[in-house]
Amino acid sequence: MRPLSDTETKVMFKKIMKYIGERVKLLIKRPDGNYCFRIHNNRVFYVSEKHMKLAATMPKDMLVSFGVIFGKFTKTKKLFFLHITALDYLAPYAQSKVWIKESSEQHFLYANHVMKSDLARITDGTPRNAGVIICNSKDVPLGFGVAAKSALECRHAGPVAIVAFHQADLGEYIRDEDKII
Amino acid sequence: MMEEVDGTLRVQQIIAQADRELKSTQVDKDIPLETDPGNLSVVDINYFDESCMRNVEEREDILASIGRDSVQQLISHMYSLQRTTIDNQPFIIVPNSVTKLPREKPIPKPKPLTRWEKFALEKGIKSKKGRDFKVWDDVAQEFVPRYGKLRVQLDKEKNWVMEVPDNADPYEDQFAKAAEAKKERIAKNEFQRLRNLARAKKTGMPGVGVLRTDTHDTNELKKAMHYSLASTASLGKFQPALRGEVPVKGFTYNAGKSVDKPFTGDVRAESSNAMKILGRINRPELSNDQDVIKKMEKKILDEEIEERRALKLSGRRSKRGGRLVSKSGAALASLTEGQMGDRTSRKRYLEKQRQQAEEAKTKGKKSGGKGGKTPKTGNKRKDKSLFIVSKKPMRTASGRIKNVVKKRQR
Repeated sequence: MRPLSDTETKVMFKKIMKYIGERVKLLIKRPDGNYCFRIHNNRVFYVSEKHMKLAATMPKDMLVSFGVIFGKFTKTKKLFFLHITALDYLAPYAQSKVWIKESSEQHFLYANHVMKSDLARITDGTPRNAGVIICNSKDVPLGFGVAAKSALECRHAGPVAIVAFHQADLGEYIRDEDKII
Repeated sequence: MMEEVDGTLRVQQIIAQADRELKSTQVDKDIPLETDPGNLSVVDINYFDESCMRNVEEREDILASIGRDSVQQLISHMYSLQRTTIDNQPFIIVPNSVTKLPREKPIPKPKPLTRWEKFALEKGIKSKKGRDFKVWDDVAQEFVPRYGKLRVQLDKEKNWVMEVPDNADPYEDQFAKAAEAKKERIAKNEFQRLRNLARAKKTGMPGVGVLRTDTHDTNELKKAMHYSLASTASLGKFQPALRGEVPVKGFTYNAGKSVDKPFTGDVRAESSNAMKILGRINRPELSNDQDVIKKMEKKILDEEIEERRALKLSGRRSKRGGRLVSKSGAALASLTEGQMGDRTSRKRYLEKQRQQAEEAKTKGKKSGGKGGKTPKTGNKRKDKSLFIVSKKPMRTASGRIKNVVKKRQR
């Protein structure tokens, strides 16, 4: 377990900023305590200072997880992949959201892309390839995605056209239990 | 009689009382205590009722009495051991420890077999150690050493003649050749010995000799560059990084160390650092910094100078910018008013004079006589030229005016 180096922090922030933009600051500096990012076995954990210090007492090879796993770096640390476990921390600060109809919730939760026919609403001014949080009609966050079309284009798109690419969904907690950690 | 009886009774009473107060030096336990005077230890494996530990007041006393008994046993045992006096000090000779203690360190691993040992095992070669040091030599008719200085001398004497083989050059020195071959064999053996050592210790072996730089192979050149960077007294610590050089971990000094940050407990410092990094992410690629502008200007200027230099060295005079004129020639011309200096500079000087004269006329007409003067510069040093021209011009034999120009001593 060690703190992230500058390059690693940069790569990670860039990824997170795709979804929540400048509000990353709210993750770094929180009013309710000191939270920090730690990297362990190429996985990034978001953890409060107190728990981090407790976890630091564990031997490295025995430590599996602590705090919340945000994502994973590739071996060469060039790419950072966000995990579904970070959803709770990113959803409240999301810049662009996509709301899907109740009938197509299951469709998305089985790792399918969001199509125009599933789309209920989309945040105005979402550019293409922006990071989006996909929510259901009751505003419960279901997962992450990338906007395939900008908000304007969505209006004119056909019913089968893909509106948002699926990246992570809540169904992964059941499907990919072992990969979550 | 009564007093004596009383006295003895009294004494007995006192002794009895004392006995009661002082605890006995005899220790009787169900299981006898094992003493190991070698380690000064006593082992008490009698039944111990742990429920007594719960009572805070009692337990200290109980534990103290158990401890006291054990120590008493040990000391009684010690008194029965052999005694000596060293420097008028009484000592008890304590026997060796009886308890078997576990190993402090793990069992040593067997040494890995060397390359030769493996080979010898495979082939079934047995060591030739224990051979006779001296060998019978028929020529000398005596026992000569198998190796060593004397053997070398004898061999030299034996081989006073060396045959030139058929395919060899007749003028080749066979003795020198043999000596060279022997040197090479020794060097090869030494190299292999060191290589085996390095293999055994798993340390890297330095490259053979000096790396050559006259190759076109980029890998070799890179290797040579890296080694040369580290070949300073401080092992490359203060060598400035070359432009475009990627620091290689394990090779370049201090490479890869930025990633291994010490594990800081200061989360606040980390968060402020993270904020800084955030700020840097959003900065646009091209900055309007003055430094950047200066850099670009300098770059452009350097490029221009290079171009001009290249043109000067190129063939065509028209591209060069005309005939080559030396600085000194131009200086001479201006100082001696067109009398000295090379032809081109004199020509140019006279041209300039003519132009200035015309300008002076036109300016004079406009502003009424005050136009021609040039403003004085503040720097006195700049006013004084490099050359001193003699005030009185000399005349050559033909009558031509010749000014003597001397360089000013600074």
